[in-house]
Amino acid sequence: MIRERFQRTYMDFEKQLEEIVHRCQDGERAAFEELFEMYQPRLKYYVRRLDSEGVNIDDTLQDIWLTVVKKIHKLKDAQIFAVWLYRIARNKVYDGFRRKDRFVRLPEEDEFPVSGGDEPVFDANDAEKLHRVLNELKPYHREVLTLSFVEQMSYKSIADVVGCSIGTVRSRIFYAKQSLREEMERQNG
Amino acid sequence: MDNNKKLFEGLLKADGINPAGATEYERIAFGKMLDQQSKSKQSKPGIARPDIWRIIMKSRITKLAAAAVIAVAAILSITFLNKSIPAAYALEQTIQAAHSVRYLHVRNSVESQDEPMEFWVEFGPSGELKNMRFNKPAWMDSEDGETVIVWKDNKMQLWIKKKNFLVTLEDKEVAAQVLKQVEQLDPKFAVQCLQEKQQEGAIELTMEEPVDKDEPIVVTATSLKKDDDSPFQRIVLFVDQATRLVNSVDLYKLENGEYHKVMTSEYFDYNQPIDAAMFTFKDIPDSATRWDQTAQEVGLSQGNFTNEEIAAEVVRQFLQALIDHDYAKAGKLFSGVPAERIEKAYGQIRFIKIISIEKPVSHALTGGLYVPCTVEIEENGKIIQWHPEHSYVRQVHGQPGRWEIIGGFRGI
Repeated sequence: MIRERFQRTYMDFEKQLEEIVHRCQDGERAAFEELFEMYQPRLKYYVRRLDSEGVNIDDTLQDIWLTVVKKIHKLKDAQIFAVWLYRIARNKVYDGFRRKDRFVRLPEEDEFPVSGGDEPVFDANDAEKLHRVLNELKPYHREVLTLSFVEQMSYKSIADVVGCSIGTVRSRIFYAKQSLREEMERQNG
Repeated sequence: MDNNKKLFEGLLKADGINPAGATEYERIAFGKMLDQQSKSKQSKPGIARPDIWRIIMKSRITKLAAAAVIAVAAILSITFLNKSIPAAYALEQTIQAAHSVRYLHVRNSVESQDEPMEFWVEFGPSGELKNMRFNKPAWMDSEDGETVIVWKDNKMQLWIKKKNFLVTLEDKEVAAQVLKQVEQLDPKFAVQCLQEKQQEGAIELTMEEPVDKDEPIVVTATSLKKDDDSPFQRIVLFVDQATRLVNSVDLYKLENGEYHKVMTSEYFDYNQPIDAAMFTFKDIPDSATRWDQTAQEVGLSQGNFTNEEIAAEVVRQFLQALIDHDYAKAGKLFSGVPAERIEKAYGQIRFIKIISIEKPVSHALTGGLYVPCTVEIEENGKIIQWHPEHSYVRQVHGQPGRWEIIGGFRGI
């Protein structure tokens, strides 16, 4: 029942978003403002979770939205708006890194593939603690978990944002959640 | 509230972010950004428009046709103000020469396409647009194909050969947009518009004036702007030595460190009177569908309805007319589109019932209202709920107190 309600709510959100994107593509100012209201908070959370030390978050966010406003008419499928938006965000943050000659891409480690193991589930009541511990994780773990928690993105969509295979996303999320759980337990003593 | 939503909100709150929306400061900053974008688009409209708007205001037209002239004007304005260029020839002479231009024939050829875009423009004694013809090649619009657009006597006519469709409009907003484009063919106008851009000083300018007076003066302007995302980064202008008028312009795009020619604009027949027949449609076949919005009462009278009420009512009556197969009525509500055209577009679909018509919301681009609605239809044996994406309604220009659908329902 709860799952059904969630799916219905999510579908409503998707339908609403799709309509807003179409209106933006028609150049409607009010639609851009609605889109901004919907995505600015979660986008800010995501950008802050990327290893963006030294990058001006406000400037980067403005840069992202400028690109959205300028290029949204080129987006062929409104259903993939979120993936498109987070890819822009990711590229902007990394551009910031490149300009500062810090590093070219996030350091990543190979992880063993996983096959359908039980993933830890997190209670929303622990959100504050989760947020704190999330910042302790490796950047590439933090990124996929953020997309999963905040955007409830599918593995396929996360793979499209991050630019890797679905298998890599699956294993990355699996190990990321394990690390998160261990870290939370460690902090709990 | 489900766990996922609660988790999302909890995480954002823990980071000091209000999950419900942006901050006031962010809203103001974003609003300013939209204002700036809006200003920059006013001189080169490129937003996709629904249906009949789209036919005329196809973004590629504005990008390619207008960009060429803007580019020329940019050079003219730069040179006009830059007195330090040591050349016998000065482009003020071209501007002066352009003052006397009454007739102009422009051909824009895109490198990747065989068919050019062609414009014939006639200006009045005070420099105002009198007549205009634009031959729009088929490659610019795969749906409509080759289209001829004529502006004359404050009316606009479009001949869409592939659809055997002649449209006559008297739409002030569309006309204003088209006129703005055409005015940009006149360097005098464009110089004024682009002086601001010139002041950025982002272009390197060179000139070659051959001794042989039969050879044109060559002016090359190259953008110095890093990461220039404008349509062209180099423009080469060929000016007739005798008349000081522009003969042609080549436009180059910088790709992978090299300049590639993407378009050539040629200017012919300066001040050669254009045959009046160019601005009329005399050879339209009798079988063509004629849609003359200027010669019939269209839409629905507002009566005592509020704007929102009449917008919803127009959509309701339009959908009901489709359910009733009353295509004449549907056409009248849809900007006066002929009944046969409506039947052709919707006759294959069985409109079953109106599910809902929601509260209309204002729509800045069309200056009207967007009316969200849902209708149950049967198409290809399947019963589905259809949500028209662009069900826009607005007041009929030139017909006070009447409201019409202006586009967005598919198939027209």
